Amino acid sequence: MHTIAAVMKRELKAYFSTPVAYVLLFVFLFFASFLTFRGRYFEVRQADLRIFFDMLPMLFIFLAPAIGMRLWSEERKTGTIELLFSMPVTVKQAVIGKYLAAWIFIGVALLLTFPLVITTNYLGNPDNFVIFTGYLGAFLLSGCYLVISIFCSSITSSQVISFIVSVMVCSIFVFADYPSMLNVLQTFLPAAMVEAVENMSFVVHFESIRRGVLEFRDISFYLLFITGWIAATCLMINERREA
Amino acid sequence: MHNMRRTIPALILVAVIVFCAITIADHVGRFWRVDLTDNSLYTLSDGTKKVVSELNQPISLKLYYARTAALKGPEALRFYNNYYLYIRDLLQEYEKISKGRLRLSVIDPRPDTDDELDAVQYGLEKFSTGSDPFFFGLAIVSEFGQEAVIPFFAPERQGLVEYEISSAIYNAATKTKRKIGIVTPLMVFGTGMSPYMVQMMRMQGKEPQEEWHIISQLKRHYELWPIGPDAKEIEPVDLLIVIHPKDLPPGLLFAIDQYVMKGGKLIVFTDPYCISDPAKQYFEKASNMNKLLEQWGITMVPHSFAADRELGLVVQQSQNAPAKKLLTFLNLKGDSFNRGDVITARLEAVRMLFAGVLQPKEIPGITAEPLLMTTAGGDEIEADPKDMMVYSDPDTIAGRYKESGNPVAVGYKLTGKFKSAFPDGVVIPGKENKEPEKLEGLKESEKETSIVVFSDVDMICDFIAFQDSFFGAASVGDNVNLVLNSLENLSGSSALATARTKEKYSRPFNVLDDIEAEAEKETEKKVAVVKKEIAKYQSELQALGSKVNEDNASLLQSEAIKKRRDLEERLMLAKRDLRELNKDKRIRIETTIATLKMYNMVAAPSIILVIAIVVFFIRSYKRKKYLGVRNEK
Amino acid sequence: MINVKNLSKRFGPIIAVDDVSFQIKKGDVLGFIGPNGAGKTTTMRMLACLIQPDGGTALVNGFNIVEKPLQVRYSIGYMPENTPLYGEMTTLSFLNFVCDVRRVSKKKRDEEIERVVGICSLHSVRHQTIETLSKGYKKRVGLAQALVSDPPVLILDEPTDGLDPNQKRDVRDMITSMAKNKAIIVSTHILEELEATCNRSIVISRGSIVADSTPAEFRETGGGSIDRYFENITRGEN
Repeated sequence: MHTIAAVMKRELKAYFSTPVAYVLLFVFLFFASFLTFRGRYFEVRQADLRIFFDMLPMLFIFLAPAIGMRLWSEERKTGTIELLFSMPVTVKQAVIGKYLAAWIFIGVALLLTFPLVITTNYLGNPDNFVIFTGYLGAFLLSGCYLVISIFCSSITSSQVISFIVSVMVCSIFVFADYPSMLNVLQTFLPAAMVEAVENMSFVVHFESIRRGVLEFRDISFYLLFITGWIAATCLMINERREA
Repeated sequence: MHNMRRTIPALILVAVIVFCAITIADHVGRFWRVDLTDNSLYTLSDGTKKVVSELNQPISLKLYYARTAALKGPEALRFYNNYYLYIRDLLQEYEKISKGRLRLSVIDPRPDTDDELDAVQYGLEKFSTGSDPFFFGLAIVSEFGQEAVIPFFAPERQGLVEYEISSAIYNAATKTKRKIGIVTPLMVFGTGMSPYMVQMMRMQGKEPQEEWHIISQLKRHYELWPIGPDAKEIEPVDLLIVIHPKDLPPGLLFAIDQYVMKGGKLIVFTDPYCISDPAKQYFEKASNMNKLLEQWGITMVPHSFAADRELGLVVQQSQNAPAKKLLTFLNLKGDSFNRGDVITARLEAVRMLFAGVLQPKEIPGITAEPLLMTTAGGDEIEADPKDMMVYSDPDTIAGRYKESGNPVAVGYKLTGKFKSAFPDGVVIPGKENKEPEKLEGLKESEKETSIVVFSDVDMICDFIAFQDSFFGAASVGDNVNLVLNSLENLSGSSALATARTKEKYSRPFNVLDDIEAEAEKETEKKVAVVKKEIAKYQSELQALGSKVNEDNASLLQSEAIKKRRDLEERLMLAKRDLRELNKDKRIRIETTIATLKMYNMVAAPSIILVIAIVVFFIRSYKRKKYLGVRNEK
Repeated sequence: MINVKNLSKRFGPIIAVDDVSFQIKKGDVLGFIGPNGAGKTTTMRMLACLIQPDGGTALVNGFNIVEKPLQVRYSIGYMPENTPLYGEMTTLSFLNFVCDVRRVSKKKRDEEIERVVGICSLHSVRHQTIETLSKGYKKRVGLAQALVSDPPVLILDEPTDGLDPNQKRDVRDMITSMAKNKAIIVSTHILEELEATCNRSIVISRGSIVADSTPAEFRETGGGSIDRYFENITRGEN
């Protein structure tokens, strides 16, 4: 735990000591409110954050890879990965520490959208519990995008490749419940499998949590999904750390 | 890279394990959930639990969803796919609480299969989307072969879906549908024509009467009995609905009276101005049943409308006309509903158009409680039958409006033992040389009963209570819920009444609404003044015109022309003032929105910027401080 | 302190390290010399548990590098080739991070950082971001990092590479000053450095040890010139 915290602290410091992080936050916050207002927030006149949460899955496709891409690619490129693992740090600790740092970073980004919550509370009487679970869901959701990004970052020393690949993989999981996608799968997979694939969609699992219903299967999906990709990342780093 | 030979199988193994774990967790834990919404929107209600626990026979639920067709169909069907998942989960929850009495099967009816044939025979709605037919409905079959069907799950009706399912289960289990009698001079059942005939009539420029959506909705849950104008006795029904009681013959009134005396339950919709009435003149569209209702403790004030600035809705009378707030087009919300009565306890929005004013009268032994009312700012607008403007012009209504300080009731519930309105019986004049007939009956109710009165008919008609959607009519707001709640509450199975109104329909931006209302209030006087001026100028202009037409035209002409120009100019200015005043309201809303947008899009990012700058300065300060150390060395 | 037994490592068809064995005691400074690509770095990486050996074992401070990699890393200060560092961090925050990872307790933290900063004379650049430092300072930060928590074993991969003569001397002095209480392995391909800092040297070529003695002996056998000797044994193999 101590080591994980140490790695996490270092990564967080690294985020906030470069201008890139501030630019990312700036862009995210701007687009978060911009897209919400463009989604007819003021025209619909409903005191909830439905529109905001609706567009988050799309925004995350770009935000999470941008945050996650440097985690391992940079270490590989500058060779600091050798420095890191010459210290008493295990692969697992390093991966989890870095992942948590990036996740906290996204969490901060989400928290900074608080003006929307204040605006909504000022304009009407929203169900703040639902807004809270919406944020919780959004945070878990972002964790899924991020874990994909950290995995993609671990396979290459180029941040650009890492970014592109993770955007692609994330899109697959976002669009997993689209009929056109399922239709393609249906041609060669049995029905039960198609349903299982559909169940992998981020959006399906985000649906009820942002309506204010905490479901075991959604939470378990997020946690298992994240654990799985973390394990995969550990495997990748373990085998390729000298490269 | 030789390591990859070990890594790739390991990665695949991880993927398979995670995939399986997620799928298993999805199946094992599908019922463990916490509903954190304000009203537990997504949890089965106690009413449903009661209905299900009272089942005494196994019932099978067959959910038909054309999944394959949906996947092949257009992208828009994704919406239905998500709703299907919701419905399936909901039904699984039913199955779970039923302790084995409900059995759910999910069927994907492919074209040209027995499943498809079954689906059609159960009466499910069939849509053609591309090549395959699309089904999304539920058939409920009891052990004894009793069937109940939900032909189509429209996502727009999500708020009602639990009630629909529960009542369908209830109906399949209790064998018979409850009977409801309907008394009305309106063509609520339509003319019963085939679609071809309807088209023919439209081509000839006649508008055919279709069955009202509310009737179709009721038919799903009840057996409806139309009662003709000549009836002298009401057959034993579970409930009687009177819609628009206009010029009811004394025989029928007596029959209704006697029905109540026997303990029958009654719902009345009366209206001082029923838009749906096909009568040609606006003043012929009124109805009331005061003859009976007065005796029972409620009067509808004739020629009066309930109005409320806060609840008024904005309408556009014709395509190019400006949108105006019609104070008699009420959108009841919040405190308009009597939260103490199960009928209105959970409603959020009910719309009424030109509703009448209900006044209670104290009668011993009868409790009268208002169900629906305006805000304290409501007012009664008197509408003389000669005064056409009150019936058609929002401005006239707004001009007469004064805040009364007392809410105006537009819905009432009466409970108790009622006294007959015909204590001495009734004499029915004979038709076509027949002898007048004298009828006598009970003078007081045999047992306690309930009557619900609403002072509007349009609230249940298609253009207020429904809107057209891609898959047919969808209910708007809670109007339909209000009717179903009343029916359910009066006809006995009160368990179902709590199974309704799942969705919190509306959480509006009160602040913006308030700004609008305030702006209107502020400009109200000015607007009235300006309007008066406009009217004055217009009449002067007219007068001028008539003068000029006389013989002395040539003499007066030059002066008249000058005066005319002057008047026209003033008129123009006054009209501009009016526009300015109206613009003021819009501008206020727009500035509020712009300010909020600014705060949102600039506030948070600038916090980031400030932090970044502070961090930068701290760092450079520290660096400089220690650079000094180097110099000393 | 270090006991290497039959260590070998191959990368595909290339044998990088072939059956290498040697021992080092406390107080030894071992010079690891050999041409580029001879297997110096690979051997050191295996000792630092960065890669796993294909065969053989080694004990570092009594811990097996295969079985107890974490304990081994606690007892080693390692300075990688080219001294990669987290460029965006300041010297101080970087050293703080190393303290965190190496479990230096909060109380001793300031003292410890003061100590390594003192040894490596980093006072003036504490708050400077590492990427803005000169090469000499970067090497010193790399060395300081290896010294945190005072590990009994130091493995320094080409510590003087790319420095000017003054800086080289500074680094060598640092190494000799620490030699008493530690076992140190230094890899280099500069032969004077051997004489200046090491009391033992191992010549490695094509993955195997070709000579193991003191720099003085090398000079003797090479007829007074270490260069000659080095050339003989490394080329002679061809």
